[in-house]
Formats: sequence, structure tokens, C-alpha cells
Amino acid sequence: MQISKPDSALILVGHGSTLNPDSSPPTHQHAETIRSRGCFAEVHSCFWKEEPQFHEVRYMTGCQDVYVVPVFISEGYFTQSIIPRELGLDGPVTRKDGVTYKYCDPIGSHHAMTAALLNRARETAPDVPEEETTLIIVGHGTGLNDNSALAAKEQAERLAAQTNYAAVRNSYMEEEPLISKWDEWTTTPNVLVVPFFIADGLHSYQDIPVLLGMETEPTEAASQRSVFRENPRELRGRRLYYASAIGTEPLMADVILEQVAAFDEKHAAA
Amino acid sequence: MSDPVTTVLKQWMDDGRTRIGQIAITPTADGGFELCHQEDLANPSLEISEDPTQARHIATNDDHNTYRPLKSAPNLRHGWQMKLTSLADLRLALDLFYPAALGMALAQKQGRLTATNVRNTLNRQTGMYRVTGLLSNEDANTLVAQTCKSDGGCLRSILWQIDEAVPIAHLPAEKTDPDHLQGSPGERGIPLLCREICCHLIAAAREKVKSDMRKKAESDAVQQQA
Repeated sequence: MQISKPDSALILVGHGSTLNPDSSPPTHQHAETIRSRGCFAEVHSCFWKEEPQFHEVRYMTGCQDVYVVPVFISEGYFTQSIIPRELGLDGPVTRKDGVTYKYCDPIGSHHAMTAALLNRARETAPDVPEEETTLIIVGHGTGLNDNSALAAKEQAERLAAQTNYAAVRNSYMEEEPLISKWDEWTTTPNVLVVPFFIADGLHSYQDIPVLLGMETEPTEAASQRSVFRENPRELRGRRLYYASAIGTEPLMADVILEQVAAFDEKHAAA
Repeated sequence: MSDPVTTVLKQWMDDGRTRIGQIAITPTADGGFELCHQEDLANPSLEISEDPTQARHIATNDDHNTYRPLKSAPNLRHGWQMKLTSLADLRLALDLFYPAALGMALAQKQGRLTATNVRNTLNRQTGMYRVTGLLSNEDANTLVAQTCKSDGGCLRSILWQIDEAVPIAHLPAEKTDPDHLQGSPGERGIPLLCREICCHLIAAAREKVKSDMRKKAESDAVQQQA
């Protein structure tokens, strides 16, 4: 993805965590990738639960044209309520104190995400016969993140149409179809699970492996363990492959830039 | 042309303001900068790094390899030295060690850094944090004293009050002095400023309000039984 905005700043907005050190690194990593390409004058990150906090980040840039991209999986409570409120945004384009803020869609809703999911699936299980494999896109589901369930479903439908996997299913931690019952609603000998989360944090690294039956209790955080999980493993009579969270995929840097380009296309007059 | 934050950083370095948080910055003869924990200035065996983005990794865990969720907490780990060749690299490293600190210090110098009182922050919370609006001023002051104290809490100087007519009650006067380097009194440097309470204090406020609600419900139940 080529983009050149030498007079603009890019601000990536992530969730972060006060408990898990693995929540913010993907956002920082994508910021570093984009910064190294030199396509923006400045690239900064900010977080709900870490520093810089949302209300502080505007002081980091001297640019008068600022793109804001939520590093979130879906539209929802954070992208529609919290981020606009805390950054003082009142729509896609906000002009405040001589600065124009351009509020882009979250990365998870861009169609390029489908290619990233497929890339992650094929990296995780490169030699598996796709026609003997079920690909599961697992999200959180329920509560304030209700749109994340829909987003996972849409991705599963797109992947089903584009690939030769025997089945592509969406699944959730807290609503049907439950990821904990994966062996009940799949029939193929191989099952490949890709977490539709931004980071290998609490949910994708610690909670879901327990629900899948890979662990009996939550392990330490990913960065605190010396060995990352190995694939595949024989479980419940199947061969199970478990990927890292999709947000850690290096292609996300390109998806972020795609969202910037999509904003410009949609709001050409801004 | 440099951005305004990098430009003012150069002025501060030329002016000898070379402390920030727990970090000592030493300008070198060739225009570079050496950074280390201020208590490591005399330590000859430091692990050297030349990549400014390593600051993020150094700042993640403390000396006991425990996660540091608050970068302005006084628990920066020891044993490292960063050798940087440019002002741009220095800015990037400091933005990762103490995020937004430089930008807020510049805004303060220019008179455009605004502060938000605790009451306003709590009253605008939604979702699981909406209940924090019920926190009393007195309890807010107690939580601020526990959470924000420079000794073991946070090294930022506080610019806000509890409410318009309710000042901070249980912390020393220098805690609200933007020119005072918390944890490094007497040194010249760049202050860490706090323009609004952070998520840690909001979480503590929620815990306090919820705890009081549970106690009241238990007490009401006992009274009903009696």
C-alpha cells in the first residue's frame, strides 16, 4: 500500500491493558512499520488503558491534518462512543483548534481484513488439505462489543466464498456457536482456529486455549512464556491448529493505510 | 524542518534540562545523546542499545520483570543505556518511555495545556464506569493521595483539582507544581504533567463506589431481617 502524506500525522488508537503486557504491542508494531516507511510526518499511538491516553495524544503532534485510525476489530461501543468522546471528535471530520481530525473506520471492517485472515490461516497450517479442514474465525461476542460478532460472521462468509476449506465458521467465547464446543459442530479431521482479536492478550492467548481444551487453566501472558504454542495438536479426536490473533499479522499495517485511503475516497472534500 | 516538539526538545537539551522522570540524558560531543536510569549514571556495566524503539521494551517491565501498566510510575528498570545519534531518535525514545510528556510540557510552556477536574472526568464516564460519578469529593481526595503520590505511585505533577472549589487535600504542595520534578528535586529537567486523571484512578473510583454499594446492600439486608 503506497501512501504519501508528508504534512499529516497518523494516530493509531488501541485498547491497551493495565494487566496484560501483550495488549498494546501490535498497535505499537504497526506504528513502527508505518513510521519506517516515511509516509506520514508523524505516527503516534494512544490507548484507553495505557499511555498516552486518548486525551493526551493531541499534544504529541504539531500537524494540522491528523488521521485517526482505531486499531479495533469492529464498529461498536469504543469506536462509536468512547474514542469520539475522549478525542473530542464530532463526526468523520472535526476541525478544532486549527487542526482537522479525520476519523477513519476501524481496521477490522476493511475488506482487506479477509486477505489477512486467509494469510494467517495458511501460515498457521501451510500443508493441511483445505477440503479436509474447517476454518473457524473466533470472536468475543455479546455485550458492548456486539458488532464484533457480526464482523466475525461477515469475514467467515467472505472466506467461505473465496477458499476451498470444507467449512468456514464464525464462533464466539460467550455466545453460540460456542468455541468451547468446537468438536461438536465440526466434522473434518483438521480444525484451524484464527482469533479475530487485535492482540495475543487475555482472550486469545489465555482464555480461548482453555475453551478449546488446549490448556486446563489460563497460562501466563504470551510474553512471559519462553515457548510459543506449537501446531498442530491432537485433541478430541481431531488435529487442531491455533493461530496468533489476527491483529498481530504484519499485513495490518497495510490495512491501516487502506483505511486512510478509504477515508480520503469517501470524504474527498475534507 | 523539525516539528515543534523536537524543536523545543533541542532548546531544553541546550539549556541543560536533561532529566525526565527517572531518566538522565547526557548530550555527547558528536551531537548524540546517552540515556540511562538516573541511578545508573555511575554504573559501568550497562546493557547498551542504539535503537530508540527499544525504549518501549525497556519500559514494559520493572526490575522484577513485572508489567508496568503506568509508564510514569517510579519503577523504571535499571541496567540499560541507550546511545542515540540524533534529536529525532531522542524524541522517539522519550515518547515511548514517557508517552506525550514532551508534547504536554511544550503545551504547558505555551499556555495551551488544559486540565480537567476529577468531577468532570467522572461525570462523563459511561458503561461500567458510569457509577464513578457517585464518588464523594472526600473519597476522591483519599484515592488521589493513595494512587498519585510520587513515592510509589506516579511521578507526574498534577494540574487538576477534585472540583472547581475542591483542591487536592492530602498531597504535598510541590505535587501540583508543574516546575517541580517529582522524584528528582533540585534537578533541572522536563516535567511529567498530568492534565486529567488516568484509567487507574477511574478504576479505583469504580472499585470504591461498588464496594460501598455492596456494604450498604448487606447492611440494608441485615436491617430488614431484624
